[in-house]
Amino acid sequence: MTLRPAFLLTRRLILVLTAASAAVSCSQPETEMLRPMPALRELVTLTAIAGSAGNPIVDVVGIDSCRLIVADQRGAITLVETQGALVELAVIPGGRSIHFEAVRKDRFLAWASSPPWLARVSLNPFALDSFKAPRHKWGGVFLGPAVEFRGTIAMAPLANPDNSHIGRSESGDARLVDLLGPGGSTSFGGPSLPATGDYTSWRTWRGELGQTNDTLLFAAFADGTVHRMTLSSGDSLPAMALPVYFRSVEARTEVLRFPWIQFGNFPFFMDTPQIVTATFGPNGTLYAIRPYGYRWSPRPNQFVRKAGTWIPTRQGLEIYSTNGTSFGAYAVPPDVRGIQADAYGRLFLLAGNDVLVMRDPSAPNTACTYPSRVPAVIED
Amino acid sequence: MRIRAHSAFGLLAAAAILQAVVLWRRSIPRIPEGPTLGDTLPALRTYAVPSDELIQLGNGASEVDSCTVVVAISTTCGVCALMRDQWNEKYSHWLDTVGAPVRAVWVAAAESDTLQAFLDGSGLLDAVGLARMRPGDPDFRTRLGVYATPTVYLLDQHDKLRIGSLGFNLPPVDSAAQICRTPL
Repeated sequence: MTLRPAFLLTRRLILVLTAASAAVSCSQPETEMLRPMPALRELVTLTAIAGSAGNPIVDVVGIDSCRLIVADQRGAITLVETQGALVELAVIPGGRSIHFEAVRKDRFLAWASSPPWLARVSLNPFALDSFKAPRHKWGGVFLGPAVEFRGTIAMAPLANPDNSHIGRSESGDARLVDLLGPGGSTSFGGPSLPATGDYTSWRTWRGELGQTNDTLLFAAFADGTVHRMTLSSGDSLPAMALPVYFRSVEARTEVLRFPWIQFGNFPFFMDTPQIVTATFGPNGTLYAIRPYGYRWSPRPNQFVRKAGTWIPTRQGLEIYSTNGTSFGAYAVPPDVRGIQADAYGRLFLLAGNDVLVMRDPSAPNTACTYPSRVPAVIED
Repeated sequence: MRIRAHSAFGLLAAAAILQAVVLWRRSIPRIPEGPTLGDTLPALRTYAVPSDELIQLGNGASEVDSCTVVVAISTTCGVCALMRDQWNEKYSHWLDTVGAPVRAVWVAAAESDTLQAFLDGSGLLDAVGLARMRPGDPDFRTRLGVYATPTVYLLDQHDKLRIGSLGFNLPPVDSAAQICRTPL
């Protein structure tokens, strides 16, 4: 008589355990929403500049006469004319992923983090002047978002996630922003970041640099704030805080260690930044790709149990003037990974292998017209 | 009867918990194990670049009585490009300090043309042995244990894996000297 209740109890226990196991494996935590996301308006697409799967476009910058310059993964820097004609301007060897900064006064900066490469690109006529980047206080040549600032180059190497491997240093804390000059690199402004600790300490300062008049701007992706720094002091003052739609989880790093590797490790950085990526326009306008919440996508394995990725549930483009006035929120493709704005009323969205050229809704209408799709890669 | 019922209940409960644990463990994907330190590197089918001749790597295939540094790279990795540009200088200095013959073999899962284009102008095509695996070859990960590039292994004179490192890190000189100076 006592066996049957025991059997039923055990069966119930099995069911409860199975259900709990299923619930644990199926549940995907999401960040807590704090306010509803804004209604997204449509951007006007002017054209798509097409890379290829084997050679995607890695960055773009807009120049005068409706032209633009793209860099592809092969290292080619190519001028794209209005009607789609292509002129290969240079090929930078070394498998670098090239980044362009905004055009200012007929020139712009181009850089890559590994191997380190820094150049000033002049337009009219085109000239590319590579120069040796100075060593960072922590021992290597580390490059990141940069802007020409009152006769010098301001750079935030620790804001570049590619530099998360920098590791520990004996040489003390470093400021977020350096000034690069002929004499080397000097710590300039922004928060002071500790030289020791795990990989998380400076990855939480991922961001983008810009400028307006005599003020340096830094958009901090983690919390969605914009900081101002002046050349006289370098002190960082919070200038603007973007609307917070969800509660960010605490950033953390899990380190993957393989039994057959004794030296080096493989860090997984997990965070939920308030800005996915951003750029400053020539007059300091902020163009920010904003996530409207994240969900957790676990990738556990036997070496790192809690590894995974926070994936944005939805994202949009928000545009703000330097004093915080909103120019609205706009729909963007889900795979957008970079953005640039120019002084000619164009926005460039890096999405997939391509660049989408859009009309900048915060600027006067551009008169540029293009074919609907322009292949941008010159095949050998 | 009461004692037997409790025993049966306990047994079933333990079995249920065990089953739940097994199910939970199985739900965690397993990354294939790479090579084992101290064991001979598993045999791998690779192809010489540029001749494309089949060459066997690992499992005693080496006919030279020296240590081997195996460098697993990819042509799209920035640190590999840095390594390519600085290899000759750093490796010759490392070799001088180790004070024993060590041959270097670079391995990549890539097409021959892509690999040659990556190394073009670096002077490495003549300086290192170049072994190619098929693009996306699962052995690159599962048997060679490459989950990030560059991965560097030091094999002793018996092709036994002695040191593994990630990134542009040649094996520590002291350890390499101790391993590679030891006569066969």
